[in-house]
This record gives sequence, structure tokens and C-alpha cells, in this order.
Amino acid sequence: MSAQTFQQAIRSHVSPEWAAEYAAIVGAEHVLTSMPHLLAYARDRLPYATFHLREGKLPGTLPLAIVCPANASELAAVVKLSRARKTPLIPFGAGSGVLGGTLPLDHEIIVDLKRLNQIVALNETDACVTVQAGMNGGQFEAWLNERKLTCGHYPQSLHMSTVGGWAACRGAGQNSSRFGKIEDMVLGLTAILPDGQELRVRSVARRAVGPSLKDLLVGSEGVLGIITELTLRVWKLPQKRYSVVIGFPCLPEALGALRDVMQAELRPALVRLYDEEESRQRGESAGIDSVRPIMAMMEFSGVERLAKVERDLAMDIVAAHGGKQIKDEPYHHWVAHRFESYSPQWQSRDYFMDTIEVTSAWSQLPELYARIRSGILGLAEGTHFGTHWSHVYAEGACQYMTFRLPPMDTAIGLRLHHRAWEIAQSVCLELGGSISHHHGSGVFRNPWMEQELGGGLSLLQAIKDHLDPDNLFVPGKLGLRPRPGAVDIHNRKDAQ
Amino acid sequence: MNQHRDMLRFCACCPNPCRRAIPANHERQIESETPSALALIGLSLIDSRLDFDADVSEMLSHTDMARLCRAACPYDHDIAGAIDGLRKHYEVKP
Repeated sequence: MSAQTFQQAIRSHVSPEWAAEYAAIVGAEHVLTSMPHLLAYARDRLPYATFHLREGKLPGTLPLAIVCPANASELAAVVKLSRARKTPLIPFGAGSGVLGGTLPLDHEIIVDLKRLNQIVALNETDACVTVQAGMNGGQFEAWLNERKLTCGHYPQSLHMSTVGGWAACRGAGQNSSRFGKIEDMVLGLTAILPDGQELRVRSVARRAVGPSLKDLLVGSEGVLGIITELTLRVWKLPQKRYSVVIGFPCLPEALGALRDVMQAELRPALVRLYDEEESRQRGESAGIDSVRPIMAMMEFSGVERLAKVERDLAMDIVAAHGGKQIKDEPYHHWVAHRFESYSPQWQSRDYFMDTIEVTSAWSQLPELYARIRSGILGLAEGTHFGTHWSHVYAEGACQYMTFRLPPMDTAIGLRLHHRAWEIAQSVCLELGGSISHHHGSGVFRNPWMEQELGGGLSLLQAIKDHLDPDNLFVPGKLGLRPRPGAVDIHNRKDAQ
Repeated sequence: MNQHRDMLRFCACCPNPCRRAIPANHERQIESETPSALALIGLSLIDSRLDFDADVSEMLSHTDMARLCRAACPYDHDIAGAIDGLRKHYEVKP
């Protein structure tokens, strides 16, 4: 089956009379059923979806309706009604996900959580804040900054995402080498389960009472429950920031330096290493040249004396790998644009642009990079491929790849785009990595989830079946069973 | 209305980094009135992929969120202005 055009979808859409029952719960003005509203919610930022929309086609289906609860009680009532009606639901924050996690595939009801957008409590003694899931990330961080605090979570999507979305998709911020990923920041949470009951995981520093229940929800992308509230760690804003921009003689030395910095137990707030392609774009005016063609940036922050010591120790390691400090213009440029999206300028001009992030052990990174780069560059003349490494650990790192295929016939472009994904994901799996570091799985990573999780996928499906026997919460995502008749974006004529 | 087409096409592909300018206490917190959503609907009209009807007119009349976002747009786009112009154009069109 091919993707439907907007007009075909509109003509075939039937809004059931009982959709109005949701109005009794949330108020009539908070139930949207008109066609332009449905169209606006028929996408997230999955590039595959954008490639379809710019052709006037739907990536999946129209949602049945959009329902906007004001609080957890209304959400629970919405869930119970949907269960009684056997109508599937998709929770929606700001729709900034790039894997199709909120894409309707079977006329689901979209539950927009942005009215749940308040700070619930701040406890400065215990260094934690409780916030509703629908709060805008940038507003949340600004609220903390006004109090000389930070959450430490700075995804590029900071201003275009919600706090609940960060946790649901197991995201990472640009300061992850200091503060960790979102799963390291969540102390407690509240969620509505598929039976409409509330699950509350109280906030405590650590516990040893069986497996971590909060981690059933963090990263679940809504398939097991809808997060309504989170308690997160907070930190004091740093007293001082020291930044350095470095030129390295080659990529292996640069990767080695980052590995040694992390294995030396240093805590850089920021680490960004660019491959030759991306270094050239960003660093030529700062001193990137044929002698040192690889650029990296680091920042150390916190208490001034400690940050200075960490910077100095790190620079000793950098020097041992042939690295040399260069001008700091690229750092300031990056700071000025760190929360912007680079996709629109290409996607709006018919390029097939996408990003893929994977996790790998240090020992496998050079081969991972070389094989994926070679494979994707070989797909079509004029293809761009660039990579950076900005989430680093003692054991390995996230490899973040940006590729774009030039404008071409859509059917061919979609096929090559899918092939690029196949190359990146299969090489990653072959080399023992994980197919996603922080973008999540959504629907677009379905083909690789079985190989990623092994027998774990059956376990996840069993948990899903127990909690959600009618398969109503975000069906067909995370590699889990779709609903009969749902759109299968991986097996349609225009994606093969 | 083609003078707005490139800007709307860009904004339709943009994930609304400007949305932080919409206050948490704003009455409506819905996706379909963000600049990018309005741009998608506006673009669909220009490209004749949507008909201009009462529902589309009603949605395009809600430009207050896009107006709030204007100052926070990294690309200096005036989506509210473009959508206002688009709606007026289609309302007078026979």
C-alpha cells in the first residue's frame, strides 16, 4: 500500500460520534477533531515523515482526534474511556522526536500533554525538582536558572521538547559527560498505566528493592504508561567555565585522547569531537588545517579551582595525543547556535537529510566510522556524510552521524535513505554496539529491534501484553506488535 | 501567495525552537497552532493539497502563538504575518 495523499486521507476519515465523550472529561475546547488539526498532529520530526509531507502525502494515518487533558486525573479518565472504547492512544509532548514515536499509524487518539506544564515542587536541600511532564524544556531550565540551579540536561532540542519527552525517549543532553543522560537524572516519577491506574515511584537517592520500576517508564516511549510527573536532580549553576578548542593530527589520536580523559575520571561538561568533514566546516578560521585536520572542543565547569585542575589534566592528555589548543571561535559559534536545528534548511529544499546516533565501544569506533562512512557515501553522487562524538564514557561513545542525499526522485530517495539506515544499523550491530544512544526507537528502528534486544524483545512484549492487553498505548512502536491493519511504513511500496 | 512559499516550506520543516516564547499559562497549548503547524497548513493551501474551508480558516485565524514566537525565531521569520496574509487572500478569493 502506498502513502495516502492529504485529500485521500481527508475523504476517507470518519470521526466517530463518541469522540465527543472526551469533551465531557477535558472540556469541548480541548478536543480537536477538525481536519487541519488532525493533519498537524499526523507527524513528528521523523525525516521519513517530512519526506512524505513535502510531497503532500501522509507518513501514516490521520489521528482520530486530539485530546488535551489539564491534569493527571483527566488523563486517567481519558485512558479509561479509551480502554472501554478500545481506542489506541499516543501521548504527545512537543513532537520533536525523530524516530516516529508519536506518528499515528492506526488512527490513534493523540493525547497532547502540554497543559501539564507546571513546576510542582523544588527542594533545594535535597537537590531535586518535581515537574509536570508537558513543561517546555527551555522554560524548565530557565526557571531553574533564575534560582541559580540547573538540571544539567541540554539537548539540542531543549526549547522544542518537553521534560516528559526527554524521559520517555531516554534522551541525552550536550553536557552528558558531566551530568549523564536523562535516566541518570530521574529520581522518581508518576505515570498513568494502560488500565488508568496511577504508578508512583517515589523520589529517593537510591534503593535496592528489586528491579528499578522507574526504568520501566524511562525510555518506554509511552508503550507501557504515560509519564505525568518527574522528579529530577538539580545542581548549582557552575561558578566558572573553562573552554578549549583543540586541533588533532588525526582521528585515532583524537578518539584516544577522549577515551583517556574519561578513563582518567575527569568530568568535562562538554566534549565534542568532529570528523574531518565537520572539522573543516567549523574550524578552518580557527586553525584547522592539513597538519591538524581534526577539531575537538571541551569545557570544564563547576567550582573554579576544581574546573581549572580538570582542564589542565585533560590538556596534558590532549598534548600526549598530539593535540594543540587553537582559536576558540568555533566554541563561541557553537554556544550561540547550540539549540537550533540544522535540518530545515536541507529538508525544505528536497534533500533527504537525516541523523543516526549509535553507541559503540572505543575499540570498535574506528571501524564503525570507516565502514558506515564508506557505505553511505557510496549510495549516490553528491551525498554528504559527517560525524561527531559528543557523548563519551569510560567504555565507549555515541557516534552521531549526519547524512544527506541530494534532491532526486522521491521513490529512489526513500529507497536510498532506507539503505543508509540499514548500513548504519547493521554495521553497528555487527560490531557489538547499540542501534540508538539517545534518539529512541519510535517506529523507524523497528526492523533492528529484535537483533538489538535478542530475547529481551519477547520479555518486553510480555510485559506490554500484561499491562496493555488490548495494545492501546502507542501500538507498533519499540519493535512491539502492531495493531492489525495499521500502516507498516517499512513494507510499503514507496519505501522499498 | 508564492512570495511566502519558501518561508512556509522552511518553517513547516522546522521543529519550533521558538516555542519557548509561548508562556506556560497561555490559554491554548496545542501543537496545531504553533508556527510550524500553521506553516504546514498554509503551504498545503498554496500547493492545492488542502481546500480552504471553514475549518482551515478557523485554524489559520489563531496566530497568537505564532506572534508570540516571532521574536524567538532563530531565522527571523514572520509566520503570523504570512498566515494572516494567506487567510485574507483566500477569504476574498471567489
